[in-house]
Amino acid sequence: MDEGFLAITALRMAEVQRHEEALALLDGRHVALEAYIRTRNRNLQSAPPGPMGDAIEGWTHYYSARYASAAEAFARSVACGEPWIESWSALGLAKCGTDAGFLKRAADWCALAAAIARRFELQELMAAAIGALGEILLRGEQPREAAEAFTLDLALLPPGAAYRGRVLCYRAHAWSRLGPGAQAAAEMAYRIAAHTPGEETDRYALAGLALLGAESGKSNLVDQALADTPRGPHLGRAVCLIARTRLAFRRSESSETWFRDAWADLPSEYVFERRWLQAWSAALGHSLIAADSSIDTNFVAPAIGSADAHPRWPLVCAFDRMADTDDLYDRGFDAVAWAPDPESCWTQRSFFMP
Amino acid sequence: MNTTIQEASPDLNPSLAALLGQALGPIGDMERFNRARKWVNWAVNPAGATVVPGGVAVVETPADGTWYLWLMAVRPDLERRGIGRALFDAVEAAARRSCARCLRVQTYRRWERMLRIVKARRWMFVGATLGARNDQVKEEWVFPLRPTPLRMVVVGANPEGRGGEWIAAIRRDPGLAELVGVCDADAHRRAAWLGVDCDGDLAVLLGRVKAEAVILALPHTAYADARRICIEAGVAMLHEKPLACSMTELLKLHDQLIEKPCAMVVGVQRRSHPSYVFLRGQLATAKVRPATLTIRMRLGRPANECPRDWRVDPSLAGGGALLDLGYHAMDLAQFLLDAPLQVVACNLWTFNAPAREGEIETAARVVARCGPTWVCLDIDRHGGEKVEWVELALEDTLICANRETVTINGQTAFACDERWEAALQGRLAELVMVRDQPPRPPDLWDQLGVLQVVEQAYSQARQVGLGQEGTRHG
Repeated sequence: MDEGFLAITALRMAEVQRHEEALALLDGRHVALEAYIRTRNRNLQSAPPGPMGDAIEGWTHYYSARYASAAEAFARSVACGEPWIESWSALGLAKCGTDAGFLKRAADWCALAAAIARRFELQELMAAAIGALGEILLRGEQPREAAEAFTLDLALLPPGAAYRGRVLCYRAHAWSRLGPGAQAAAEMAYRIAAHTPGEETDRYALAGLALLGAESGKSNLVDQALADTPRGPHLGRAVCLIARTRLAFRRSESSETWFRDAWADLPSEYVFERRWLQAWSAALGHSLIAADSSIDTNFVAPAIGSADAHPRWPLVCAFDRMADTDDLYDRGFDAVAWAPDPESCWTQRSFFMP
Repeated sequence: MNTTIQEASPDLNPSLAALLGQALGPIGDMERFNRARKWVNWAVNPAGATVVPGGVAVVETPADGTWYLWLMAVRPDLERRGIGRALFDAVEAAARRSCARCLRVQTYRRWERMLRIVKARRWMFVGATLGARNDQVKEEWVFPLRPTPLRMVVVGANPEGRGGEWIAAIRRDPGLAELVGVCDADAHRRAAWLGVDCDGDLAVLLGRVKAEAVILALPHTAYADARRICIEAGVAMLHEKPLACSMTELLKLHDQLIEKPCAMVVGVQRRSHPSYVFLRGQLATAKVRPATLTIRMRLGRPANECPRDWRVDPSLAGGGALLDLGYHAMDLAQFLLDAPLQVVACNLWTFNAPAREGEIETAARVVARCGPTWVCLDIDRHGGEKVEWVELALEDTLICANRETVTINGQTAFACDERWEAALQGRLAELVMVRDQPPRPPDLWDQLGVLQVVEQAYSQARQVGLGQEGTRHG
């Protein structure tokens, strides 16, 4: 088995708590990585030295929404000469850019990650890069191309892959944005994705179902999703409550209680989501929620160097369209001016959620 | 197995071989190539006053059945003295005189004064003389060519459809083929339009007009009966794609042709289009395989406006955009890459929603692999502008092509002023050529491969669908 594929597979296993299987897979062939997996607790001290350590450090920062630190670490490892680490780091930079709203730059990094993975036959990373590209396209309001990317991602995933349910859920998000003609397909896909044992997809799929119900006026979908979602702070739960708020608003009912529950259940690392929710709160005329003091607004995603310009990937027309709207999609969410009226502000949620 | 000019002729001057390789592309039939190929190392000035060693000329018979005289690589000293162009003009005039009729003389922009092509029929004389005196003839070739035009019947003569295009192509070149009849359900109206014998019964018509070849341009699911009549009558066929709607049907056709051999050419015109022939030549000489190949084919019909024809009727169309337009894209991809595709993923759309069972898809996006090359086919009947676009990314080279030009890293490498008509003529010429050969089962393997990819794509769309069902019919 290829070393890069081996390492990525082991890391993926570790992410879903299958540490023993990951170690068995490595079987002494990657000492530093084994050490990392043995002590994997998102503690920076456990990252091995060198480019792999930098990449791991980058991902650790990323998962904690410390985008500037993550990008700094990824930048150190993205040109290390080891294809799988390069591709993985480029993917990390793409994810940082995506989360912070620098979509065009993120797409460039994503294309680079995919190009390296394609050239060196790193199938797992290829699938991850295509999935990340789908997310960028989704946020960039290109749902059809996003759905195509997720279909390709699904086709690239090996049978039984741990991320299948997640990708199905993302594709359902894309379909749900395509309008009334695709709602039935989206609803079915959400219901299927909501039953993927062994993954953390269920709550996100239910959240998508709730939003679909809120948009299409099917209150039973919202109620069912809320009933099936475990209580407690989680993005999925918060989105279900946001959907309920939206439904109440559309019915001219009081939405403030639902809204406050949503705010309480939205974890603090979702910094831009929280910022949007504050703006929507103001637009709805709720009593203002105290601003987050922890939001780091200084991050600007790095742009790809001209030497790293990617070979044009087949989803080329979407890139072309995104390039046309460069100003909107490459400023960062921090610079987005939130609309003052509830409807316009509601449409801006598409940067973050289904 | 295809080979390159360099492989076919190891003794050839390398620079000339490279030039030829770019111009001709890979050679499909080694034996035929070697039999027909003649090298002329000297060209005669037919005025007779001066005989000059001009450079290199090649007589070649590629698969389209016409004869080409390639004049290239004029000696630099002659070029400097201004003789090169005059020499070419003189040889061209000689060829015109010696041929019963020259079809066309072309100057390709890239070659400018280096390359002219003379397509000729009936026979062609090319002489080469050495020495100072005209009577010292060293080499001489006479090529007999086809004496009579092909008598053709078109089945499915919708003036706005492909049948109409074929009729126009036949009439554009009366020396190559002659329209002697049309078979159409609306025979009377077609007869008034075309002024030829028309009948709704193909078997009756074939017996009456003594046709040698038939062009079949029908709805996808309507070919079987017409094809059977042609095979029984022993006439050559130019069969519009697809040859069949399923592998089962195609294999059945293959068995029929084994039992009763019959000449057949498939109407995949892009295989004869000058731009794509040039592009294939570029790829054949490239050291590395492309990383990506993107083919975008969009008809540009207004969004949500369905044409009222058989293409939206599942029982006649047998499939949607993927089988209809996508077939061309897949065939072109396989033609350019010279290897079969393997489908990775396929999305089928009916306008802006995932296509469902029973619907005719209006758009398809297929991602496939061909060795190290990732192929993306973007097929859409609606939306946006009408476009046909091919893009190849090599390591540090971006090659783009359409029906008019080929650009390499933004620089025009090839341009042609003849467009779709040339591709249709090429297919007709190929039909003329296969008609002259002893009956034998046609080579269907390319088309078998394409249809297999179509089936793979439909199947793949079903497998990962989960709400997006494949839309295959027939």
